[in-house]
Amino acid sequence: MNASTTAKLQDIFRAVFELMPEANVTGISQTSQQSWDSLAHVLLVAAIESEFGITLDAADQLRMPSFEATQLLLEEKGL
Amino acid sequence: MNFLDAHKIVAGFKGGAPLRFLLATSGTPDKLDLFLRAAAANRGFLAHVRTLPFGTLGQTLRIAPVADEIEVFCLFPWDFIPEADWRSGVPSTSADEEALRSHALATAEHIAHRRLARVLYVAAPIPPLLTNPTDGANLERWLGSVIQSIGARLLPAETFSLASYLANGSPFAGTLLGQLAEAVIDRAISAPPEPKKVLVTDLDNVMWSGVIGEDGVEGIHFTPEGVGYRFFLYQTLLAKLQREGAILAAVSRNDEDLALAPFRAGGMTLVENDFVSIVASYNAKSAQIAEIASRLNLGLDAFVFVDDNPIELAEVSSSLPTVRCVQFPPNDEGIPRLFAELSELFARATVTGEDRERTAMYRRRLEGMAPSEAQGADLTTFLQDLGMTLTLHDRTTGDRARAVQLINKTNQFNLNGRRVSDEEVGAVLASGGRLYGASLADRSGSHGEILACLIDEDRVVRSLVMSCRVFQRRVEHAFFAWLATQNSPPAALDFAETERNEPMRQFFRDAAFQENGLISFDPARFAEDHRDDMSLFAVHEERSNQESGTRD
Repeated sequence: MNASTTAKLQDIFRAVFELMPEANVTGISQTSQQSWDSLAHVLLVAAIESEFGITLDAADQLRMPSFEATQLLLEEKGL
Repeated sequence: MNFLDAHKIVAGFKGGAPLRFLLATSGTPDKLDLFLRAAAANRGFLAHVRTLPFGTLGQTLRIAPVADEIEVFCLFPWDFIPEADWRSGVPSTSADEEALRSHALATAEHIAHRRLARVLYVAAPIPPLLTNPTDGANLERWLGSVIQSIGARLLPAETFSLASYLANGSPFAGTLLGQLAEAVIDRAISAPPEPKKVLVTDLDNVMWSGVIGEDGVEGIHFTPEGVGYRFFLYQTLLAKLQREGAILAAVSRNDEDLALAPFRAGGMTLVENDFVSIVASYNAKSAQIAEIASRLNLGLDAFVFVDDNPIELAEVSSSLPTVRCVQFPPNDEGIPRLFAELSELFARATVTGEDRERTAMYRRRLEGMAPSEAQGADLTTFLQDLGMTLTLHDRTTGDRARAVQLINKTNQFNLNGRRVSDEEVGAVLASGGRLYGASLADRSGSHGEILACLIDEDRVVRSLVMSCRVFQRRVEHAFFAWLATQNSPPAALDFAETERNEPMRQFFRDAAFQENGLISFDPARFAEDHRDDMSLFAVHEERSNQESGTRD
């Protein structure tokens, strides 16, 4: 994943979880981020699909418990 | 508009006029929220969107709308045919097609009755419901035409995402959320649908009880007693709608003399002259309606068709999807609902003298209509023989209600499709603008005030409309030839292409108009080129200070 795509993914996480612009999101996960509930997960998936023009099915969505895992999933999809 | 764009727009939006509406959809709408707020912000609105809990659309349709709340429905095939819902799986037995269609029509009817409803429809694929795949494809096509007949705007099938729908109940594709939100906001801020203009009614078992070809004049019933009562009521409703400006027409698969016999025998509430046209032939009803539309020069989306036979309704709905099809009920209990629906479709805020005379004017138009094969010299002779008088009204001061009404209801010969309020017109005039109207009469009588033209202080035409019932008479050419000879003739026209104003575009092919942002106008050239058109009319000028003059 190139730097531009990584930066966009970080911006998406900050926007969805309403974090400050300078917040470091690379370490957050469903267990560390209290606001990461099922609704936030739906919004996160939609944000990624919208921004990168891809579709994430139910199996993909289960593989996104953290920023790091999400980044890995997107890399597998060629981003 | 992607997610981060939407987020940035919303974060930077300082606030604007509130835009309150209900987004009614059967799936989970949460992920649309940010995109809706961004699309509204792009138009200067602060969105306040009410949504429905998951799976409660059906219940919502069966209760009255919240007073004055705009409703934007974003619908999928399974909102009309529940058996087609992917989340329920493929039905274990082949479905009863008639029952599916009946349920879909009932749902469409529920939506059509909601005054402030605007509909978006995603023609998403559905699972196989019928044994024969061809029947399934036909069912999908039929459903699309039913939905279009209630004024739905279609969205691409890709707006639906099965992956998202299965994963979290939201049917919306994440990749198209921006476009979908734009469409929803467009619908939320769009003007309410225009009243319909033409009511086309079937005759047998709609206008009267019985079949004229079998029962004869003596065997049909239309008086306020027994089996004829609801047909009498229907005729009284049509008479009311006609008095208020609706144009009545009738179609019947019959011989003409048979179809007309009940009217000519007397005794019915409606008479032959209440109809602009009664078409009796053995052609399909859709062909009969298309012929009426062509002769009246009106768009099919202005038409409502009433028939008791679901097969005839389906044929028309399938061939002419923009015609609104309404079923005449099989029993008395359905009459109040039919009356409410038709009254809603033809509702007008005010009824003018023009409205009351509309059927008579269109009848005159059909009588004075050039034969379609008339061309060139023959057409000129035909127009000369009509003995037309064009009366120009200076509406800069005094009563301008008809001119403003024309600007706001005319679609085809319309400069730019923009609607204006009386206050906006008043402001243009107060700044030094001018407003003209024109009336037309011919040997068959008056066609009323049929043209309006608003020119601002910079000599730019801001509004120009002409009623489609006087097309093919060179009225617009004569009017502009007259305008070209006035003091300070317009220098340009503020043209904008719309879906419906092809006649306007054709008019601008004249060499005196040149497009350069605005459409520039060469008055001297136009007046020179169209002397012959002026000679078709006796021109009478009616000035705002009540002076008048005539020239031939």
